[in-house]
Amino acid sequence: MSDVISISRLTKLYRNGRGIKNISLTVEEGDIVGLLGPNGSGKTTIMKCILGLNRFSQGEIKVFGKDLNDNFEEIMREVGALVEAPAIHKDLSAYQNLALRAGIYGGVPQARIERVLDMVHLLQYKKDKAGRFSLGMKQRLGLASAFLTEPKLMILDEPVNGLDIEGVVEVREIIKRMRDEKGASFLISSHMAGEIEKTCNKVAVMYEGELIAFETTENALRLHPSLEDYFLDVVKEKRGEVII
Amino acid sequence: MSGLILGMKNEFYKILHRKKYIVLFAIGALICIGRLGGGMLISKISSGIVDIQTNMPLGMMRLMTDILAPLIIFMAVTDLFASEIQEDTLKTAIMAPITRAKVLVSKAAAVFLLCAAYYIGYYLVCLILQIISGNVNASVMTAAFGAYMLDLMPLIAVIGFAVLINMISKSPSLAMLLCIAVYVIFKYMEYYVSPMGQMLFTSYSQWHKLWMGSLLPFRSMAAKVGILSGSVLILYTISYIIFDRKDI
Repeated sequence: MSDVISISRLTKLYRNGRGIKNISLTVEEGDIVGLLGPNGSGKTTIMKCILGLNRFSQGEIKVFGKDLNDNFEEIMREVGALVEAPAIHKDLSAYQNLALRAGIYGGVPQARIERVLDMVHLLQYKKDKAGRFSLGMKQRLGLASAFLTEPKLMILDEPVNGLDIEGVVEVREIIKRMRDEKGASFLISSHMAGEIEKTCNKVAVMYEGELIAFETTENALRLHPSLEDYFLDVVKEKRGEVII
Repeated sequence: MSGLILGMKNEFYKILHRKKYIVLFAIGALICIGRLGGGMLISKISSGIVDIQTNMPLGMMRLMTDILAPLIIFMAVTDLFASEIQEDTLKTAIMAPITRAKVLVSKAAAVFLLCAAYYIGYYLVCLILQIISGNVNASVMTAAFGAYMLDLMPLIAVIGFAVLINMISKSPSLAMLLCIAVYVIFKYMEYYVSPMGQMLFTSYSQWHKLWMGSLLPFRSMAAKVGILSGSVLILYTISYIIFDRKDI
């Protein structure tokens, strides 16, 4: 399988000294890779670097085999993303928000906008101002925006944040369906091990700005009853604590 | 190129959805009406002895170029940069298939387009009022239209200035405040600090005076064009350097 994302020795340090150090990570075609780690461990920073939101100080990022800095426009045409809080223009309706995003790609049919709104159960609210939406509805709109152009790669930062139980299950099913039917690849972050366990086929553990483990979910679960236990063991090992 | 045009359309769409720009246009139109009404009233009170037959488009121009246009520019640029950073919506433009250079230019171009729409709109309002007042001269109105179009040129520098201020400001309110304060200082320098004031881009707001009926020698005109072009180049280059390195 070809590499969709190939990150090599990526370093991004903020002025306060935090950030990510020497990260190397690969996402293969059809992978659903979960970035697991506590808040502030650097999950979002990795995603922001891939999406061009953060400028990194060292390292290399290749997406679809091409250097990110040299082929940004071409690469981003095939990437959908939801990073941190959904970027929503509050004074525009749900439909207008998606139309705005579709506008930059050119040629996204109106029917596609309605289809993704239907997919996230917002079709009936398409004319409502997005600023009046609840947290969960905003999250759904953010996901609709990421899915809009049927990209080959999706980068989703805490995608189920603010969603109810049914919403969480639906998003999980959408992700798996898009992988199986369209061959899409995913890089998903979460601080909830259970969510990564149910959704991802590979898990990358982030801790204090470093990638401390990268394993298939199957392998991680072979010696541990759950991904949560796997995470705790990996972190203990990193700290030099004795694992009983 | 297509990314740039699509980006500009998107940015313009965002601006048009803010009602304050329509309100601001309406206020300007009301000033035009007030000016005509005032002239007619004075004429009536004086029983026609005092007849103010002004060229309304040119009469409105000073207000447009020195007050209304900069205000519109500062508001629109702040909406598209500082406000979007604060509201966390700028990332939609960055994560799109368009480079940061194109994002910056498309936003600036959308603001320029807004200014052009305002200028044409005000010109039409003035034209209609002139026709209503029965005081219309085709050659004067054609010249006035030319003057409006020429006066759009120095706005490119004012937009670049506002973009630069937005790049270094931490919040929309600070950006707006700085834009107005620095602009007022530059305007003061234009009138009271010679010759440095004449070197600033703000002193070319009435650009048409340079080209229409001007008796300036070619060298002098070329120098002024050079100063304005240089200002544009410097303002946009610095803005781009800051924007390109910014973490969103």
